[in-house]
Amino acid sequence: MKYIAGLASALGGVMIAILVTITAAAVFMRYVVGAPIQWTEEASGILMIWIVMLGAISCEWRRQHLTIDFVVIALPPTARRVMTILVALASIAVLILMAWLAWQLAQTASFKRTQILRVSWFWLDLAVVVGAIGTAAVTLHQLFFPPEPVSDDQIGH
Amino acid sequence: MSWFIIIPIMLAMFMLNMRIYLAMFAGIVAYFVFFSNVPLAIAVQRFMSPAENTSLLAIPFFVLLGTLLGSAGVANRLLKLADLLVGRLTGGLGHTNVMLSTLMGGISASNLADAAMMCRMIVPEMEKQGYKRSIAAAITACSSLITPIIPPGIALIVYGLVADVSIGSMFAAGILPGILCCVLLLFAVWAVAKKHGYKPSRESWPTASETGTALLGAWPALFLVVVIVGGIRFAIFTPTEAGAIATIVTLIIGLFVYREMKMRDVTSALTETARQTAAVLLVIMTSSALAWIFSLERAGIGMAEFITGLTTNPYVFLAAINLLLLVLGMFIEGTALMIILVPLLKPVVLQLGIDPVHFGLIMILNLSIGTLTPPVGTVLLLVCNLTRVSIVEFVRDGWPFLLAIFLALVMVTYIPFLSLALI
Repeated sequence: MKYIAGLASALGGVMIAILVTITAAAVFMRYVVGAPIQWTEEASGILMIWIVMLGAISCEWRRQHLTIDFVVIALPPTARRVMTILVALASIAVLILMAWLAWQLAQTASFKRTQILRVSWFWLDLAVVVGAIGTAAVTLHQLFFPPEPVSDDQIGH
Repeated sequence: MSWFIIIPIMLAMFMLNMRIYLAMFAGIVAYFVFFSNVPLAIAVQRFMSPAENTSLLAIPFFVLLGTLLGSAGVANRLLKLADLLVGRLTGGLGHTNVMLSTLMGGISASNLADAAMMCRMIVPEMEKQGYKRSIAAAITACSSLITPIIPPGIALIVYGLVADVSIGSMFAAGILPGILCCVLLLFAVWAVAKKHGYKPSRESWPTASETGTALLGAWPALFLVVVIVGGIRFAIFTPTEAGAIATIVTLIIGLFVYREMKMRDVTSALTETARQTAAVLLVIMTSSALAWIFSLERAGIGMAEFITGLTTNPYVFLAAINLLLLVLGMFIEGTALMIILVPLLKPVVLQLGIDPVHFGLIMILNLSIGTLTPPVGTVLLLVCNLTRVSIVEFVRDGWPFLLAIFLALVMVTYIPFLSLALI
């Protein structure tokens, strides 16, 4: 599971590097070469959804998702433990629902293509399927092997 | 109105520590199932559609930029410059701390990263010069609040997106309020330093040659500020493109000019950016689906009617909103709060004749104060943890700085000129 989360964040990192490069290249082509590139906006959209959904997996692994935890922290240890398990199970259910809905969308929208690059929408919707299933898997894994609490010291990194 | 039940359900799920984006997604699905006859798959479509918005790309770019700056050697040069500018004043290093946050504000977009860096860079030095550690920590935490207000700032971008106002105007609007916070904090530092007898960090005002050397050393950093703020202000490129260009300039500075950055720093910054982008964007995406429901159900208009039934005085409304946000900001993370509230409040704001850009600045400054208040003040917790100061000490010794920031909030709220002069 560690490797899956690592792979997801590595892929996300590579995509961000591509994103920076094509956006800067678009400015360069527009001002310096005088031949604007048409497809960068569309490509950015596709990369973005993949970055978010892959990042979601790694975020869950590192517990970096936004939450409001002051109520749970105030609970006694046993209640907190029970609550954590219940919320994890509910989260897995929501994620599987998300993946299933995205899969349906992927199949019905696969004939739809983006305007310039002619990429099938299937590949965009697939990002949500992959991300949701990956995140559900991480959540399930952490239910059995609770991670060490992350110290606040690491927030700033 | 029965659909409105999804809101308390979502709030309950937030409180149980469910991931915010999942709780919101669950609420959205519940709406589609029980209160609407639109096919359920549309929920996913609404959730995905913001990702195609190119303005959102500005977020990963500025997150990446902020992470890279830590290792590029830019901050050290700006520190020297800041010390040169204000080090002669009573309480020198305290002023330097505030000045550095302001200078970094022109490049960095997040106060958390800024606060973490300052804790390592400048707090130990302040302690060596006889500052009480809790005071050093409070100055660092409060001054880090300037960073998100001076453009570029992630919060400015997020507000621009959810309120549908130009990100360029949000950036221009942030400049004067940011400088105001800086000036008020400098006054607070001076007053506290006077009382405790903190010495200046420099013996004399800088000579011309010293200034020249420091400016020369810091030129790439200053160049970066000019590229970002100037490039957007004069419409040479969009905020998104500015983020990409600034990232590349920072890489060049870090790798080839200052040569302090290593390839390892770059790769870890990239993966960290992927994570932080996901954390912020998932909440933005789900909330935009929620905003779609709000507009479908005309919730904003209902809210406007309700509030204008209570008061039609914009000053009263702003005071009430400020109080509400200060209280909510103590418990709920600022970005999430902003994304949920803006679509609901924007119709009221327009109806009362308040400029949405001005309202945005009030909201961002207010919610930044939320990062300094317990129990969920992210900056407060980070700074207290890194400097090993207890929250009680922080509040006891840091109140003059908190007061300065509150004063800034009141001024930004009631002097619209501050936010609107430069647009």
